[in-house]
Amino acid sequence: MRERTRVGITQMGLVTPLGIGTAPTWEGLCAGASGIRPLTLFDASASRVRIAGEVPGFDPRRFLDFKDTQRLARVGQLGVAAAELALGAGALDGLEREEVGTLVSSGLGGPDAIFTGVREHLEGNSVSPLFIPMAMTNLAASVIAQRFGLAGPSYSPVSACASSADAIGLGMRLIRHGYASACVVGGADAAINPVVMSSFASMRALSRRNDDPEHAARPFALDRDGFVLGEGACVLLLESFESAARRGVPIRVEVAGYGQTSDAGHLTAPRPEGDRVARAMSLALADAGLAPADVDYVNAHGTGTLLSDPAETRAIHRAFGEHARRLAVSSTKSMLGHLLGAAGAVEAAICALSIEHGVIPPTMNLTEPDPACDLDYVPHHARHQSVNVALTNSQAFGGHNVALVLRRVHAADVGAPG
Amino acid sequence: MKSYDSIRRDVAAFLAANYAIELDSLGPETKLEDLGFDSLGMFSVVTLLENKHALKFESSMMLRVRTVGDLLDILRAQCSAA
Repeated sequence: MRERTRVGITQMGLVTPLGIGTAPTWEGLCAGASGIRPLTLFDASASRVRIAGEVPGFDPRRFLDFKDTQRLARVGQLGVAAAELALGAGALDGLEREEVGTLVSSGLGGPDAIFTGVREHLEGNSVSPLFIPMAMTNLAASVIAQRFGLAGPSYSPVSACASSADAIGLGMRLIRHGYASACVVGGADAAINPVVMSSFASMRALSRRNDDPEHAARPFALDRDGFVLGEGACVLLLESFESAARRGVPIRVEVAGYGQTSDAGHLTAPRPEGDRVARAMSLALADAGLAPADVDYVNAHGTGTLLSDPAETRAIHRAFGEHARRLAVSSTKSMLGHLLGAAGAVEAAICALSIEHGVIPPTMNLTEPDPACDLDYVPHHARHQSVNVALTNSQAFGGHNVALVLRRVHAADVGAPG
Repeated sequence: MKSYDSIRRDVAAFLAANYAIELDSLGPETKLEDLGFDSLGMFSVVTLLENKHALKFESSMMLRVRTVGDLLDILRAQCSAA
């Protein structure tokens, strides 16, 4: 039987509330820094929630020409910025552009564009032709493919807060099954918008710790009161081991397994038993050919909402059995906030960095854990520990559960020449 | 009667705000394509003019526009027709 094509990450671009680029994001996470601040993107003085994780100092002129700074919805701007960081400086050299796919997702697309279009309509005007392309959730995928001339398969799988985890898994499968030799994958979301935030606030999903932004995101803590909305983007270049070897490019970390399930239950509330989330993790491990005991680190979905954290904890117990007690589990949303459709890709990148650096970023603000949340959440301080296998969870409104397994690559795996 | 000058001013303001282009500095032969002004740009400015001046532009006519001169000729024709 022909050996299965293996797929790994060769390039990475991150734009997050902790900074523009991989280094500031990773260094911030390891230092336990917070990207949550009073929000500035709109006047929130009369809003119930006045804090968010905005990308600090984002100047689109660094990445875009003047026309696109005026035209592109912010989600597209953040996506292009992450893509430039990942793919600039000849990172695609030696790849046949028709064999490179682009799967970049967004949970909400361009709510700012929708907001503007609705206002034009209510004022009695015809709506700008840019409304449709700027509001569509596939904007980032489209502009990234255009910018880099990537002519392979291109789309944006949408599964709310699991969107970019699905983009990675599906991109991996396109390569595995021979439909592409490489895929630009990831996600972008820019939903810090008064309409979006008002709805999340009415759902009681957002923390209202307005006077203490740095400590507002409190996953697994007894006094948590919801997630903090963040914005940002992550773009990864996935490629087959063969393609990377041909180009002489190192595989940084393998994307080894992908599992998906659906709660098939409530529109927004998770199944309290966590059984379907557990099954997504088990499927991802089986896809990677690994056992639960092989996993060192789980980057939890860990939003800090009342219902989600205990359900995910139960799911980890179900999937890992006794090994759940030995696992390191952390929620980096305690520092970044929740980047919605970009979260899955950002957290997969964090797993990859954790494997590369041998450091597990902490869960911050976990002063008193909820008794229903009884795992080792790596509280307060990063942990220096060798990580061979990491798993990242994404659970979305709509009941979509996704798990990805990332694995350290050894020299023998990539068929070193000779 | 629509005022050509006022319509031309609106087009100039649109190009300045969205493309950082000075209409007055362009010759009539300048190709819009070379300015990065594509069909979405064209229909954005057309929508703006239709909203503000109650004009009507035929799509087929606008898609034939290639140069700054073509565009200004159409605006002028709209004003004299109105």
